[in-house]
Amino acid sequence: MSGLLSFLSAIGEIVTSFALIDVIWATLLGIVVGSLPGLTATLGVALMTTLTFNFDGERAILILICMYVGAIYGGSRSAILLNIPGTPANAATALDGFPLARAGKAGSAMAIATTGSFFGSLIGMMALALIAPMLAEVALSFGAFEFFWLAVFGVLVAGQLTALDDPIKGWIAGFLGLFVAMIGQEGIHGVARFAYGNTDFSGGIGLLPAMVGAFGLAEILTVMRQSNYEVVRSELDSLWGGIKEALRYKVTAVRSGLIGTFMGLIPGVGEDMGAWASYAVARIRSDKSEEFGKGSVDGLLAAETGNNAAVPGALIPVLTLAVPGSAPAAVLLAAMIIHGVRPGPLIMIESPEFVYHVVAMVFMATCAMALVGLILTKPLLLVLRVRREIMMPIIFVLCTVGAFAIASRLFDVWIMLFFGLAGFVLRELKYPMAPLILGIVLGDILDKSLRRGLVLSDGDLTPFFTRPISMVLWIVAALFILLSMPFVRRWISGAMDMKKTKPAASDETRSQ
Amino acid sequence: MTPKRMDRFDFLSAIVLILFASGVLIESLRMDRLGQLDINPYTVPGLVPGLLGGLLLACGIALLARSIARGGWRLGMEPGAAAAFFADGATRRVGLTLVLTFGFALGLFGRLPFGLAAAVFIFAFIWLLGERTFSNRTKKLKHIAYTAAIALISGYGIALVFTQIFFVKLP
Repeated sequence: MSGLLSFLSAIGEIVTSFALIDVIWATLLGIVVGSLPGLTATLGVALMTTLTFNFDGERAILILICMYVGAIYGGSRSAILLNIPGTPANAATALDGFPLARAGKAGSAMAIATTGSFFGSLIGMMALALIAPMLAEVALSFGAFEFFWLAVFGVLVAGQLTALDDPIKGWIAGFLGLFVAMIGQEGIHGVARFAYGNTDFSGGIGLLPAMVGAFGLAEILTVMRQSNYEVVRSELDSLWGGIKEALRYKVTAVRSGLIGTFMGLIPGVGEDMGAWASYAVARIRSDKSEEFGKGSVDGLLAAETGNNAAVPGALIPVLTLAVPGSAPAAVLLAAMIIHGVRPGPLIMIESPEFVYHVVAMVFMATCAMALVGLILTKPLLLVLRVRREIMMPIIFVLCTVGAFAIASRLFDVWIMLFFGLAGFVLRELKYPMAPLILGIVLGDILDKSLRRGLVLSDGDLTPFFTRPISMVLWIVAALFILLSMPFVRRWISGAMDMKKTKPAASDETRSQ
Repeated sequence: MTPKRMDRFDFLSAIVLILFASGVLIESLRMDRLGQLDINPYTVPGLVPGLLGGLLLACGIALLARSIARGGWRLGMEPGAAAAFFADGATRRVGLTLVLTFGFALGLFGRLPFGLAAAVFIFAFIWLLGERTFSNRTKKLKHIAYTAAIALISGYGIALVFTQIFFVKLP
């Protein structure tokens, strides 16, 4: 009951103050950022974190959440109209959104995407309100052993799920991220590692300059490498028709919302997998699965519901475990710490009202996203007509100032350049960026937890494997690794084929 | 990228990774163990970096073995591949983008007033990477004026927004 009151009072505060204006402009900016190919939600949230550095904490976090929700939704615009996902989370959207637009149903497709995103975000928001307090209570029993495995689990699972075809590259990216976190003063004895007397390195590698580089400059280079895209100039059909059509698929919306939220909950996996998993399940469950990829309303709705549901889902581990569920959530985590919030297991004891304030922020962002998205459908199309050679240098100037603004030191600009170049090369070689970023975030937790755990157990490794939560985490992580091994996959598919052929063979003998 | 080409790049990146991981491992072993402070030996600063070095080394070896099994060690380039790479429009665009972005961040940023530095960079970027074929001189002059207007408005606009609205200190 107190949670509901906190939620309602936060809504009241936002609606009756200038915060409402923040909600509208930040969501609109998020939609613009998301809809531009080459600008991701992560970059948008990272740049906005540097801009809102001097703002009051709650105001800054409200703006960042609006930017996050808006950007994930905004990516559907370019996916539908250009067949280029605005953010990686909208890749599944393009599969059915673009064929619908080509068939003259661009307006309907955008309305379906808006409806899906709205429901996805609402379902995720409800899960955030219900699960976060429970998870925080469970997390209170977490000690060094559990946090160590949580960090390992996060890096391994994110590495595997973001590089399904080649998990070893996902793990390498994750381990590299963990290594980056090792640079600078460590948290137990204050020894500067890998600094070699350089004071800048002793301070460590900042998450935000690294992210601005890996998601900003790297993306600019990727966009400039590609051939120029053609902007679709077509008339829009009825938006209302699209909404009505989307409402026919209520089961898909609810199911995709739950799947998206769950994928958001898993450390580092985030919106991309939320969309793909929802899309895959919708395809399996659909009576018209042959229409998927050719303009299926069911498919488009599933993808957009899944990715937006993952946004509040990714905030659940941020608030309760201080572990991000996605790359943009990692920036939000950093922003919360910058503004004096202490996410983690103690949040429901120290500042329970903050969790419900975040729920209210997500709610307001969701409403603004749907309203702005529908009302400004036509004007927002103009954004897609801005040429990349005009947009990219402006983005890079923002990246440079963004990296510099956090601590007013040029070293952060160099870090941004390094991560931009390294990120571009790694992407070209098919190494995913999300585990790298998650590694940077989790490195400190892993380092301190392992060493503290060893001190507590006096060097005995048994508690790392036998404590109940630790056991669950390491078994799941081990299963993930095993399932990625080619010979295990072959064995499983062989066993499944055998199972399929056996009943068929027995049916044949019976008929004879 | 074709799978064959990717195997070659995997072979090269695995070697780089193995060298890097070996360096991390050696540096972790050499790291101060703070024996003089009589700390708990399980809290030595090099423990986790050493483990990470080991894991990266293992992954590097696995990647190397896989790329060798797939023939990635045959690095021989097809005749004319290098010339085609440098003649490719994508290579030119990426090269120019790198020169311009690094030039702005390392050369102009902090040395010129911010608005001017940003305007110069944006102008150069649009001019060098945008459309540059004009049917007559008037169109060319119009394009230059348009590009300069965008560059100046963007450069000084960003400076204004950062300093006046978001109170960010610029160099």
